[in-house]
Amino acid sequence: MQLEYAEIVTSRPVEKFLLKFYLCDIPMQSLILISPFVSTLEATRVTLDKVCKKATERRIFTYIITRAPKEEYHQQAIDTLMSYDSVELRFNESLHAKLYVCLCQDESQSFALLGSANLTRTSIEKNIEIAMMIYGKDRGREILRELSRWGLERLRTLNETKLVKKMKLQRR
Amino acid sequence: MDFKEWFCLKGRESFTIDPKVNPDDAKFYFGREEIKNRIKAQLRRSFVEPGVPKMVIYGSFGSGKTQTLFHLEHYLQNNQLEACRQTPKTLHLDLEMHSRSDHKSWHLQLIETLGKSEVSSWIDRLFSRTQNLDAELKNIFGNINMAEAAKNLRVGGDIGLLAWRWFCGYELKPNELERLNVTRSLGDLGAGDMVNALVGIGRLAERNDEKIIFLMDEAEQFKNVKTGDATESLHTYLRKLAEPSNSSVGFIIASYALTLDDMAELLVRADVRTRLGENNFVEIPPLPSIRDVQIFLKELLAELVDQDKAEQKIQSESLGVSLETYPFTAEAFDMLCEFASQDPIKALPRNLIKAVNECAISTWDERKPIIEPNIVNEIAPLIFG
Repeated sequence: MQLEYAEIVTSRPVEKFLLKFYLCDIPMQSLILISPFVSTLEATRVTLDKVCKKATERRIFTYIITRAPKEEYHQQAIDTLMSYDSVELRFNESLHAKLYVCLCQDESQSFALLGSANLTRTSIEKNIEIAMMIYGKDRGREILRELSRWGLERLRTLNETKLVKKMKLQRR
Repeated sequence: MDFKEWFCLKGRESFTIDPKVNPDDAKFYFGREEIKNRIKAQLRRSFVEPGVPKMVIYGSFGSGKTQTLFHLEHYLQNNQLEACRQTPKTLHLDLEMHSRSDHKSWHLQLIETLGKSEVSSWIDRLFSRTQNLDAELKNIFGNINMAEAAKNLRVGGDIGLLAWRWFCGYELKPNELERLNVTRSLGDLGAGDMVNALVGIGRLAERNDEKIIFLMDEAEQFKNVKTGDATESLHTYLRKLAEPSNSSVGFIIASYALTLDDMAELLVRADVRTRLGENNFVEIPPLPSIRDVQIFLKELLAELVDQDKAEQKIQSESLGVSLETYPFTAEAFDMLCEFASQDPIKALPRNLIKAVNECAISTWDERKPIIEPNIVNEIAPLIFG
């Protein structure tokens, strides 16, 4: 079955999402990255640094929710995220969900990835992952709205979700 | 205590309104009394002449076009309009157009939105009231092929499905046409043929005391069509639907566009504009003044915040804020209105709602009971700056 608004991705799903975010030249509003574990994604096609750079240059509000780092690789990613003004960072120790959403000015261009993959190099290069890519078309639009609302409002305002770093975009 | 209780929200998790997620939100139309009254008056008039609404609304992203469509639907369903003798049957459709999409694609989307079961049930009900279904259907559709196909919709199984595929505009094989007892596929004669079938279905709905009104969102999708012939066929389809002779199938089309000229060209060609009338092209502008922003925000807060709980909280915790601006202090509220009004093109409902939500989340992060100026000063420039 082929749907225009959803697609199952079994090959490097997180990379596919990040590439779409990084390469698409369309006005974007917000980027939501929810993953228990995060790495700098060094030596992959789209590093965390590249993602944050684009977000800062284009004034894309970037919301990241992850667990507090316990491993070195996770800490390095957090250090990267802490250095970007466009990023808001929160920790939630119960987090297991993996959700990535890019909200565009034109809602029909928005897209999301929901699945098993963490925002890590291991997830891209080694693990067997499966995810659903959802596009802001047809019924996908409502799913995207629900997902972004869950990430931007529900998860962010849970008692156990702690704010670590605020966003600090400068006025134009 | 969770976020919802912290800010005394009434039956919702946040300050967001979205009728697609929460249908009850369709009743809201904050801070835009003038435009709301204008559109509703136009809507009421349209049931007198031409007998059904035919309207195009446009505005920038986040200006509230989708909310307008849902609010008008709510208005139609909850008010008995004198001039509308039937019950409005509103149908939502987010248009999808690609580079080669033509009138057949648009027609298919409209027919699929109506649904086979709905159209079949109209024919069933007509059958239960009439002595001669064949004659009734010929009278309604004004075309023997359409009447035959419609009659077959009552039949279950393959034939019913074939008849539906015929109305959808699929090209049928000769033996399939023969089974339906029709001489050609729908659309063989062009876009007008398809519109005639749709209008025929509209008349069928009227016989069942319903008036079809399509609420078509995302009409900027027409700009995706790159083929000249396809554009022409879409234009013909729209022009035929816009004809005064169609008083059975209404439509309200919403499109992203900053000005009329910014819209897909086929929507604003002179022949379409003449048929629809200039009054039926309505801009949904940003909130024009600080006063409009204030009214928008006050109405939003009054509806989303449980007033009794908030009053109690203000008293018991001696918050020193007025219920009118809660959960903002008066100063924070004024500051937000100022920020939002500095650049008029950014004073959009979507931005205002986002600003309220983000200010509330930041306040919640600090576990403060009310939104103070320092929070607004931090958040508002991100959104309106």
